Amino acid sequence: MEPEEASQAEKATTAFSVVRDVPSKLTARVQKATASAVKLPAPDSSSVRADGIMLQAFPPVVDGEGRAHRAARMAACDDTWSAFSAQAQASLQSSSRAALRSVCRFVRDQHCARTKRRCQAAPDLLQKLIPTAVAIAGGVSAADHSSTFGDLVKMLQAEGCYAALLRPRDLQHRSGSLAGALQRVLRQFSGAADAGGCDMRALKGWYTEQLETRPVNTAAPPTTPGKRKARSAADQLSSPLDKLGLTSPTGRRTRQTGASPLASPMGKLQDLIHVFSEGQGELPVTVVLGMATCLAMLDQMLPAPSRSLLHTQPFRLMQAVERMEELVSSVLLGSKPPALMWGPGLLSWAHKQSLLHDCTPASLLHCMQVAAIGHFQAQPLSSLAAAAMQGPEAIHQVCSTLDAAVVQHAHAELCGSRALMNHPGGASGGGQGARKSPRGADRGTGRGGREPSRKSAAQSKDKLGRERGEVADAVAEAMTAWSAWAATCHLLNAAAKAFGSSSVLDTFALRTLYFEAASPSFLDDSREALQTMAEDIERIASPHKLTDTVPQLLDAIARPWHGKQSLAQEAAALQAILAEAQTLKDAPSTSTDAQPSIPGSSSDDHHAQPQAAAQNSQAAPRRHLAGPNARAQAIQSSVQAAREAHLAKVAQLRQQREAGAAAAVPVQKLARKLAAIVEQAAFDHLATHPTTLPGAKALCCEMGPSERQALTFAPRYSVHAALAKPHLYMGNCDQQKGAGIHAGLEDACIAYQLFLEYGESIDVADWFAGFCQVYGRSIIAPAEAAEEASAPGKGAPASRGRRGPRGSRKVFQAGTSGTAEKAAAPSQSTPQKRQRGRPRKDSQVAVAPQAQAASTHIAAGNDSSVPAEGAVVPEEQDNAPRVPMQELATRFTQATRELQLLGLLRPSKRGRRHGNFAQKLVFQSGGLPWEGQG
Amino acid sequence: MAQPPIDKQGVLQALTSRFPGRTEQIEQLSAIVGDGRVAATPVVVHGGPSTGKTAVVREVFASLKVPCAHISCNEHRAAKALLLSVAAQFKGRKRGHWDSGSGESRSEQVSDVLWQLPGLAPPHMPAHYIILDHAHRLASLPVLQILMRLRELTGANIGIVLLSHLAGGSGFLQHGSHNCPPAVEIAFPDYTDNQLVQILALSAPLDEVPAQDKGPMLAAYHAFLLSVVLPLVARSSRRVEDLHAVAQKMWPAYLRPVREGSAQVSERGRLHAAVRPLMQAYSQAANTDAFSGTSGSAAGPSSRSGSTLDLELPYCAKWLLLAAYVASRNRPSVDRRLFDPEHRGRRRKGQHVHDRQVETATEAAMQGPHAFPLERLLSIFWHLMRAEAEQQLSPAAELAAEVFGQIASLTCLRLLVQVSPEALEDAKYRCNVSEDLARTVARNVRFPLESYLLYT
Repeated sequence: MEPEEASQAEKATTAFSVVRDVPSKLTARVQKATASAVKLPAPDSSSVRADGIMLQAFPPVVDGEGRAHRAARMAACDDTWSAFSAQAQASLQSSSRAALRSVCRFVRDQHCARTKRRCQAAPDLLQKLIPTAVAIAGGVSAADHSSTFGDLVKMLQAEGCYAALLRPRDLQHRSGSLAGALQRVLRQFSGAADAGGCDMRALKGWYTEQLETRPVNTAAPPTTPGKRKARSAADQLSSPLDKLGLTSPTGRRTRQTGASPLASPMGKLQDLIHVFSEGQGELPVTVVLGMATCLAMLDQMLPAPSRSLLHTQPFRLMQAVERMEELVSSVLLGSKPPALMWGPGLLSWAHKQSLLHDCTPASLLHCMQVAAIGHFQAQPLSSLAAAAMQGPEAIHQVCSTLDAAVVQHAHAELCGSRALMNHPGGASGGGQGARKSPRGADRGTGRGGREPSRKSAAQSKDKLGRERGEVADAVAEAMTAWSAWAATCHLLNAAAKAFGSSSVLDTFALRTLYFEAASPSFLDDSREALQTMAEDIERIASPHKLTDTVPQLLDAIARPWHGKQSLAQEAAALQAILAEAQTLKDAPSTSTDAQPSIPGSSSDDHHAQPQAAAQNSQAAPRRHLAGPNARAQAIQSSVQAAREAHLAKVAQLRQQREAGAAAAVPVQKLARKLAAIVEQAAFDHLATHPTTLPGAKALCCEMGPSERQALTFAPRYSVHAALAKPHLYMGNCDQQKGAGIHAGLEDACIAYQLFLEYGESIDVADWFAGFCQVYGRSIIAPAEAAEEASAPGKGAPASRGRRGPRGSRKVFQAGTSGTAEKAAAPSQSTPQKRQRGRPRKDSQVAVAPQAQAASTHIAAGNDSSVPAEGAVVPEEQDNAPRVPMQELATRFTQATRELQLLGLLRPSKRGRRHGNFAQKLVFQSGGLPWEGQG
Repeated sequence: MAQPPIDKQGVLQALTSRFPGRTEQIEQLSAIVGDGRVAATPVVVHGGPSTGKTAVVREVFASLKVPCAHISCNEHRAAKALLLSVAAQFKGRKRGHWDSGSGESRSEQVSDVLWQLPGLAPPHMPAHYIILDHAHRLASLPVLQILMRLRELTGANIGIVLLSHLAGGSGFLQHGSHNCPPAVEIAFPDYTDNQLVQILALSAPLDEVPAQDKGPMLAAYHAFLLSVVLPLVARSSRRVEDLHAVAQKMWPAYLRPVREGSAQVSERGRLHAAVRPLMQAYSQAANTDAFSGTSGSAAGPSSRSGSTLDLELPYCAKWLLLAAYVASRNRPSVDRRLFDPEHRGRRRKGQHVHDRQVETATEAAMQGPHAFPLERLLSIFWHLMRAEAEQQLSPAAELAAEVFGQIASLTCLRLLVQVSPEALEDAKYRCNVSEDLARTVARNVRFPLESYLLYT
C-alpha cells in the first residue's frame, strides 16, 4: 500500500466513530425469543433497572411517599386498566356476535338448500345465483369492525365451513386479473401456504379432491388452520361446506389520492362475482359482503348484470351508538365494583369529541386510558383502585398498610373537601335537591387541618389508625354512592323503556344518562322528560302491565354492583307494588283482562279507552302548562259523552264494566306510587355525581389540561396549529405571540405560514422569494423590488392576496423554471435574465434594500420593537449574519419536503409550462369565489 | 387405444331433450365441429343472458368428445394467463393440480406458450377448440386478434368459439379487417313461454311424489307455471333462474289445498286461489329480494323512517353531505344569493315567476343531481359551518381541518361520486344522496334544508 493510500485509509477510519458498542449480553428481543425454550434466570440488574425507569413515571406525590407505594400505584394502574380494558373489549366484541351468528345460520341454510338442489340434478343454468349475506355496519365507524370479519371466518371455520377472507387490497393485483384473489382464497381454503394455483380451475380442482377424498356423509372437518370444534347435526349430514367470506371495500377511512381509487377493486369485484357465478355448479360458494352504508348502495356500486347474480340478504351489525349503549350498560355501569370512576369533565369532553369527530367507543376508551394513567401518576390514594376491584373490605385491608404520609395527606384532603361540601355554596355542585349529608360524614368533620400534636407514640398510632379507617370509609362510601347513582340510571332507563315515549327514551337512554347526568344541571334540563314519564306511568290501568314491568325495574336496579343494597328502599317499595299488583291480577272479578271483550276496551290501549281518557284528564293538572279551563272542561265533557255512549253500547256488560272501573282505582294508586318512586329516586341519587364525594378522589379519573393535550381528535388541525402558531406549541406564548414571521422560527413554520398567505396553489419560486426575504435576502430584481416597495400595499409577498397574481411580481426566470435550488442559482446570472421584459435601470440596485426595509417598517405599523402580525420582518441587515443563498435553498427544500410529508401540500400539475406549483391540501376558510372581487 | 365411435345421432337427441328450444343451435354446432379432423373457422355464439349459450356449447363439445379449453374472460384477460390456462387444459391437466400450478408458469413467457400450441394440437391430430366465454370483454385487447388468427400464426389445429351477448357484427370482432378472419355466427334467441315452461318442468319438485301421481302432478306444475309464474314474472324478467326462484317459493302454497285434502290436483281454480295472496304480495314488492331473490332494491332492515339517521357519520361529514346536496341541486348562480349577505339581486315577483320556479324544480328533479367542483363544495360547506358555529359554538376550525379526509370517506362510501379523474385539481363530484336521506341528515343536525334549495 502506498503511503498516501495508507494515510487516506487512516483518515477514513478515524472519520467515523463507533456509535454503538457490540452488546456484551443478549438483547431484550433475543431474551424474549428464547424465553420459552430456556428457563429464565432470576431478575437481574437490567430488569430492576427497567422497573426503576418505569417507576420514574410515577413520581412521589406526597412528601415521604416510599418507593413501595409508588410501585403499588404503578401496579394498580396496570391491573385496573387491564381489567377494565378487557371488560370493554369483551363487550365490544360480543356486540356483533348475534349478527354474525345470523350470518352463519344463513350460510348453513344456503348450503343445505343447494345440497338438496344438487341431489335433484337441476340444470346448470339454475345455479348461477350466488347466495350473498350483506353485513351492514351503517356508517364510517366501520373501523370498529376491523376484526369483525376475521371473527366471522373463525366462526364459520369452527362450524365446519371452508372460509376465506378477502380484503380490498387482495383484489388489486398488478396484472389486472383475479389471480391474487383466487390464490388467496385457495390458500385459506386448503390451509396450505404454498398452494400454487391461482385460477378458478385450481380452486375447482381442490374442491373436487376434497369431495373425492371425503365421503359425503362422513365428511371430515376442513383442513383450514384453526381450532376444530364440534359441528352441528346439520353439518354432519352434509358434505364439506364451501363458503367465502368476502369483504367489499367498506367505508374504511382510506385516504387515497390516486385517480379513481375504487375503480379497480370494483371492477375486480364484478369479475369475481361473475367467475363465482359461472362456477356455482362445480364449486358452490356463499359470499358475505361487508358494507359500511346500506344495501341500496350496492346498486350504486355494482352494475345490474353483476348485481342480479347476487341473492342478497341484509344483516345489520351493531352501530357505534348501540355499541356505546352496550358498553355503558355492561361495563361502565356494570356489575363489577367501580375500581375506576370517570369524572364529569372527562365524560362530557370525551363524549362531545367522539360525537364530533369519530363516533366510536374506541376513542372514548382511549380518552379514559389517558385519564387513568394521569390519575395514577398524580393521586396518592390511587393505589386503592386495585383493592377496590375486590370490594370495600379489601380497601380497609389495604388502607391499613399505606404509608403514614400518604394517609395523613389523604385525610387532610378528605377533611378539607368535607368542610367545603358542608359549607353553603360549596363545591358539591348539587344545584337543587342537594344530597343529604352522606352516611358517616360527621365522623371526620371538624378535625381536618389541625397540626398533629406531639403526643405520645401510642396516641399518634391511634390517631393514624383512626385516619386510615376514615379514609377507607370515605372511599367505600363513594363506591356505595356510585352504586346508587348507577342503579338509578338503570332504573330510569328501564322505566323509560317500559313506559316512556320515544323522546323520553332518548333522554333516558343509558349512554345519555351516563354522560349527561354527571352535569349539575341535568335534573333541571330533564325535569320535563321526567314529568312526562311519570305521567305515562300514572296512566297505567292494568295490573298486568304492572306485574310485567315492575320485575324489569327490579332487575335494572340489581344490574350494577351492589345496586340492590344501595336502592334497598326503592327495591322494597317496588316489591310491595308488585305484590299488590299480583293480588289485583289474581282476583278474577277485578282483572280487566278477564272481562269479556268489549270492542275497543283493550286495557293497554289507553288512547282508545274512555276510562284511560278520564285518567288522562285527571293527570292533566300535573302539567303546569295545561290549557285554559274551558278547554279542559270541553275535554272532560267529551270524555264523559264517549263513556256514556260506550256504556250504552255494551249495556249487557254494565255490571262487569263497573266492577272493572272500581278495580282500576287501586291500580291507579299503585301506578302513582310507582311514578313517585322513580321520580324520587332520580332526585335523591342523581342530584350529586358520586365523583364529587371526597372519597371518590382515590378512584376518580379526571381529564386535566395536560391529558387533553395528549389527545387530539383532529390531528390535521393540530399539525396546522403547531406550524401556524408555534408559540402555542412551544409553550412560550408571551414571548412569541404576535411576532409574525421572523427568522427565529423553524424553517417549516416559516414556509407554512408563507404558504398560508396564498391561494390554493403557489408558485414555488415566488414562495422561495418570500422565504429568502424573511432572512433578509432577496432574489427579486432590485429594481423591481424598489418599484414594489414604492407601491403601497405590496411590501412583501406575505402580505399579498390569496392567489399570488402571476406577472404582478416577476421573479427570476430560473426560479420559475424549477426548484428552489434553481431559483437560487441564477443570482450570479442576473444580468442575462433581466434582459427579458421591461428595461431596468442599474442605478436602482443599490436602492432596493432600503426601500424594502422601509416597506417592512410600514407593514410593521411603524413600531420596530413589536412588528405587526403577519408582517415579514427581515433580520437586521447589518448585524445579522448573511445566510448563503445555497443554504437557504437547501433549507427551503427541506421545509417543503417536510410539509409534503405531513400531507399539507403536493406538487401540482397546473401551470407546468410556467414553473413549478405546489397545491395546498389544507382547507382554508377562503370563502366563496366571488369574495374579494369587491 | 382407439376410442369407440360416437353415436352422433343419439348424442344429439339426448342434447335436444336436455335443452328444449335449442335443437337448431345444437345441430349447427355439431355440423361445424364435423368429424373433428380439421378445426373450423371461428364461431361466434351470441344471445342474451340466460339463453343457454355456455351450457349448450359446453355440453355439445363434451358429448362429442372434442378436446377443448374453456376460458372465462371474466377471469382471464391478460394474454399470458389466458394462454397458460389454454395450454394447461390442452395438456389434459385435470383438477388435481391446484397445489403445483404456478411453478412453471411463472417462468414461461407468452411466446413460449404460443409456440407450445402446435405441439399440443398438431395438424395431424383431431382439432382442438378454445371456448372463450364473455368474449366481448376482450374486444379492445390484442389478444383477441391473436386468438382469432391462432391457426394461421402457429399452424396448430385449433379452432375458436366465442360466446358473447354481442353479435359478431356489432363491431367487437372488427369483421372484415385484416386482423380478423370471418366468423360463423350462431344466434341464441330468447326462449318462448312454452320453452321456458319446458325448461322449468325439468326441475319440477316431484321427487317425493309417488310414481302413479307423477303424471297429474306434472300437468299441474305445467299449469302452475303457465297460469301463475309466467304472467307474474316474465314481464320483468325472463331469466330462468328468476322464474325458478319464484316457482320454488310459490309451488308449496299452490299445492297446499291438495295436501290439506280440500282440493284435487285438477281443481286449478282452487289451487290458484290459494296462491293469490302471494301473487299480490309479489306484485306489491316486485323487486324485493324476498321473492325474486335476484333484483334488489332493498334498503332492507337498515332503513328507518323519521329523523333517526341509520347511517352513522361524523358531525363534519353530515355538513359536508348537506353542502354537497345543496351544491348538486342548486345552480351555481344561486349560491351568491344564498350566501353573500351583501348581494342585492333584483328579485322578480308574481305568479309567472312562481310557475317558472315550480317548473324548474320539476325539471331539476327529473335531471337529477349535477356535478359540482370541489371548490364550490368547500365554499358552501364553510358557509354552513360558519353559520353553525355562530349558533352552537362548535369548533368549526377543528372540524374543517379534517374536511379532505371526510370527503375521501364520503367518496369511499359512495355518498359522493367523483366524476372527474383527478382527485384534487379540477375535481368534480356528484352527490349520490337521495332526497329522503338528505332530509333526514338535515333534521339530525337541525338544518333548514328547504330554505337552501332554490330552483331559479
